[in-house]
Amino acid sequence: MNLILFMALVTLFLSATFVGFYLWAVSSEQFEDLDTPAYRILKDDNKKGKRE
Amino acid sequence: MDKNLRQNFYDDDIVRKFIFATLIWAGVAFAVGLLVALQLAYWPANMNTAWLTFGRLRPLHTNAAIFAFAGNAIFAGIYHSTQRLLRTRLFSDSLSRLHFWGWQVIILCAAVTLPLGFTQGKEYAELEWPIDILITLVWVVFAVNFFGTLYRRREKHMYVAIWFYIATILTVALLHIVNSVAIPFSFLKSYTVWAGMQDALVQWWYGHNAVAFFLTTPFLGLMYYYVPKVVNAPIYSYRLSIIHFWALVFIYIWAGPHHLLYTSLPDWLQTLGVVFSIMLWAPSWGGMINGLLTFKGRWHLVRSEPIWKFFIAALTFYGMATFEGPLLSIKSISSIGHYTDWIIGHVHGGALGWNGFLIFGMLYYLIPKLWSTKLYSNKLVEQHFWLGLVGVVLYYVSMVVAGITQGLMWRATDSAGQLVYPEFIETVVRIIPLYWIRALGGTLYIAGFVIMVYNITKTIKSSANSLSDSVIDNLKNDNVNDNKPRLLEGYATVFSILALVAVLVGTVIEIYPTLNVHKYVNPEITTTPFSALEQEGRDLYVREGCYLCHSQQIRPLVEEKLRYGDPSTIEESIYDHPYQWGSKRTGPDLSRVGKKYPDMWHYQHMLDPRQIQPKSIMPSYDWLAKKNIDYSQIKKKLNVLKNLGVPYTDKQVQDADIDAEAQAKIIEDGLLQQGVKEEIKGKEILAMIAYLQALGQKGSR
Repeated sequence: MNLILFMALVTLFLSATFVGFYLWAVSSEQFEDLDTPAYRILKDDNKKGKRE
Repeated sequence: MDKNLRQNFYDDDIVRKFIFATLIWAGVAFAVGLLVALQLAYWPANMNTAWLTFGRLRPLHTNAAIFAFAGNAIFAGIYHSTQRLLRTRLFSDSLSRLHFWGWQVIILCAAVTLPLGFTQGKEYAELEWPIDILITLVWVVFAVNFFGTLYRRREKHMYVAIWFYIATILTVALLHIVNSVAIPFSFLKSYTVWAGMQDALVQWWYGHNAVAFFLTTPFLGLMYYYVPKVVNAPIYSYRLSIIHFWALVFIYIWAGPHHLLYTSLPDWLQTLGVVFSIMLWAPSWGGMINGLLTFKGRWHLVRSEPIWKFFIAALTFYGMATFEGPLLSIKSISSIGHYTDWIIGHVHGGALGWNGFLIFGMLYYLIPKLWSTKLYSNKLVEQHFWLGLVGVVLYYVSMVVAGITQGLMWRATDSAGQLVYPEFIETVVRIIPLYWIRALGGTLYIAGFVIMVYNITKTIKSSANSLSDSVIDNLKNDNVNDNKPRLLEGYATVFSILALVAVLVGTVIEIYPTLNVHKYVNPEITTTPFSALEQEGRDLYVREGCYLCHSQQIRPLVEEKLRYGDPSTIEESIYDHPYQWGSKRTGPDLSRVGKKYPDMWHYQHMLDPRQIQPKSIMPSYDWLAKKNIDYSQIKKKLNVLKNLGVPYTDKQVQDADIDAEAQAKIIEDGLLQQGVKEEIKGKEILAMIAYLQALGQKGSR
């Protein structure tokens, strides 16, 4: 197949996939909470102890 | 204890093990690096010993730096942070230990086989097939251990660091397996299944993504965990980290062809590589900005927190390297920078500045925690930082200046259209002072490292109590964070599949069309495969690591045509397993060196290059005139190549050893006639001369 045509189709397909994926992500509330994950990692550790 | 609480212990011992390994191998990688740097400044540092020459030690240096120093540091950081991020002990203690000891065995095998000359002749993928299989097995152990931990996690939500670890594990497996596929002909030697242009493409898809998925994504994961921990502040923008991750893993995989600009790689691939390399600038800087801005409002504390300085400098070097990378990918800039020391400066800005400093910062943070003590001296950390920084800057600046100087000298033509510096050696001699400055920079960097080792030793010795594992209390309910909507970042399997798809898109689009390499070959041009003796010589060329200083690819640029002859074609290297296009010209290109000089010239030049060119910095290869050609393997070699599609006839394979001996005899007789006194019957030098004389002579154009 003509390479330019092939690449153009691939590009269109990929772009459409990305836009679709983004719209899905927004509508399914993937971006609802963008604050707690960043804070959560700060309060993990850390006592020292012996295994029983 | 409350019945609803259950105690969990993290496996800190494995982290301590990987930290020790990191420090030991860092010493080895740095020391070998300094030695090869000195060999370029002062050729007698090759010590006239086969296994100590530049061509054999340079792969040892790169492999030790990438897979031993950075590798062990990555594993230490991933195993430490993953347990805490997922709030659970690692999946299996036995797998952790198997991973640790397996990886050290691989490194030891590399440290023995590479100086002995067992190499596949592909940069950063030099290790031969049995070690490649071992790497695959150990990586699978690592993957099972990591994904098992992920499966058993008590924290449902996966933090951004975990995403980068997932992408690393999956992509490195893919890269390693595809690039290393080879057919063995003996216990320690094999030929790659890829050939010529196809091999070049697969190799740089691998090579560039070794940088991307071994030296970038795991380190970004570590950055996303350790920078907020060290600063005790959340990452500047979690939103940005989402964009950063997906854009980076999707775009990075396409960038490989920028290592092959102006070569005989098809144009559409070169263009694709350039476009994606330039796009890569955006997500890379997204990551840098995200890390640096985490320090926002706390900059005044940097003065009194020497460990912070390492992280800030690491991020800054990451920003510089990822700006310079896209810049060097622009074709016109690549035409000056490619094959020169500019590229060496570029990678060391990344390796010493970004990877090295991030590792040092991480170790200074981790070691007091893991040994329940305080750092011995903050002042020594400060000294380490400044020594290291001056070292990297000297290294980087000297190499960029050397690269641009040499690049411009190679291309300089006068008003009559003639080369201003027709003798290659002129362009080498000019930059030797810069090689000394580079070695000085490396020495300073190592001095800083020595201070760190002293500081860490003192710190560990001051830890009085017996070592223990960290403990956390958890609710009996395993899912700490299960009341939130089940976001994508809570589904490990779906997330991993999406990450794999992201790297497969670019991989398939670039590699699939070249699987049928003959589509790109002009059927009217026939290429004759190398004769048995020439092929034997080619294997010696690979063994000695000639490709690390000599390219075999002439670019379609005016000055290259003047200096080396017609541009290289796809057809010429179509039977090359592996391809030997090279990426650096410490010496001149060799693709058309065949028949340019008489056999006697090559004989003298290989034994002592100074006889021909008094200022040459090439090592002497006098052992080639002492060691005998191993005729017993030649049939097997040609047979493997025939099976891989090289058009040898059955008779050629059957008579390979006889043909080789006959051709060696002709070269030997010629040399004896011209006055060679030494006993050279059946010596390796004959095969090497046969190969060099065949370069550029195999295509009918």
